[in-house]
Amino acid sequence: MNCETACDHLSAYHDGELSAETAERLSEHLADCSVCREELAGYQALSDLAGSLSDPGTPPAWLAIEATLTGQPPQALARRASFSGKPAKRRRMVVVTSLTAMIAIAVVWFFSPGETHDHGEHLAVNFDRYLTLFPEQPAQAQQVLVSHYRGKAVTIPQAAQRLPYRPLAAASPPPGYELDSVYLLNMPCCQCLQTIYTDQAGGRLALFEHEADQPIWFGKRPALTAECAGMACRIVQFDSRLAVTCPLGPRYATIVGVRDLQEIVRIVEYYKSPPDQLTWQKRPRRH
Amino acid sequence: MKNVKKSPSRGIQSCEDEKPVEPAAELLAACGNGDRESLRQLYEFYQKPVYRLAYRLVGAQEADDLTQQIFLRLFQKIDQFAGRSRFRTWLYRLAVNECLQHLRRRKRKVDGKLIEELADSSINEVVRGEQHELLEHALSQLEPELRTIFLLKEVEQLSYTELAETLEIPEGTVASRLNRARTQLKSNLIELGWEP
Repeated sequence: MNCETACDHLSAYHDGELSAETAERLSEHLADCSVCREELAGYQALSDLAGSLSDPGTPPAWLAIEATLTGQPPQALARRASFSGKPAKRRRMVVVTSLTAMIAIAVVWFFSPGETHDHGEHLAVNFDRYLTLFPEQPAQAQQVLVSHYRGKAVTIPQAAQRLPYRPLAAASPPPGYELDSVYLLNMPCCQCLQTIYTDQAGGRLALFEHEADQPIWFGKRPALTAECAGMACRIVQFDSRLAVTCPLGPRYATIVGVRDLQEIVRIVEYYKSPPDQLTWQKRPRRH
Repeated sequence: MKNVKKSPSRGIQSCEDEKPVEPAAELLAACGNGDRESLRQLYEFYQKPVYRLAYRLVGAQEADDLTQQIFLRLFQKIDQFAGRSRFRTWLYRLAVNECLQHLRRRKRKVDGKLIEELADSSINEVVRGEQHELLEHALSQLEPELRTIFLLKEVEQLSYTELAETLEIPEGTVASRLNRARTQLKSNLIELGWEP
């Protein structure tokens, strides 16, 4: 067996999937060929490395699946509903149950605090306005958020008192930037800390710290998921700038106004382990 | 309708968490009839491997949504499972197809310039750190078909016969595609500073 044929069979040999005869011929070749032996050792190292991969996070809860099933019954469920029992009675029950649920939702909606009403739609609209104004008219952009989400200028220690985690804003600004201002926004998802940084070249970054992922902020803008500094990040393009979201400890960080991908990498790398030795440990919420 | 609720575990043979065995025909039949408890059992049984695959094929941000989508599609189609292949490979096939379709749709949607920039960017040079982080990154650089076969083999531990069933390719192609995946992955890793 020559090296070319041996290489073709190496994966199957490594996986124990070769016929006994071919495996024996390959073993003979390996005994004499250090190059192929090294290649095979590389496959083994790769398998060992793959074995070190940990389970990524937690799958969605069954309740989430069941809720969707209830909203959009799969064919099998629909068929069962139409073939078993007393269809007319079942349909009446479905109608009554749906009406009851709709009334309950309407009551909850009516009595809930004002800012949460159809916040999904408003969020997308407000953030679209914010992102459009951000590059050229940052003060007006900021006003959009402050007015819609009861934003308050705060100091970092005040913010730290109000949040259930130690804010990233408590670290020094990212290299090259200076702290400009800090706001607490009452977003539908959570209390969101917005920290604004500026640099000498007129650049402006807004760091949002929020407890739930908020892809809705960016509506239908071009986006992709990429790994930056070992973190899974969602990158969105708006105007000539970029925004990036990644989970960092107990919060998500969204950084708006980044110039290019190199800067994204630098900033994510920085916040992943800022020099101030931030701890990600969740602190008890104060009431 | 079969009452599987009274014996919640009868459809699930004892299994190791990481390598599920086949679900009982009785459980699949109850799922086909839309029995919620049976659907839940099936979900609990397979959620981890499906989520794991989705996470590494489409990324963390969309893994949740895609896992849901895969199971909803599974529940819609479960009565089409004829038992000609193993259930596990049938489910993996469905999951892989959903993930690859999702990646194709996403590729069409995103802005071409940004993608181009990404490909050239220093993101590809930056990752340094733990070995498994290197592997995650090197995997993300692999083309989806190669990433899929590598994950199914090395993480999900499918045999070549199961890989052939799942991916609907001949076993000979399984071997050559795995060879390609490993060679490419090794080269990506070495570029990132990995020393085998």
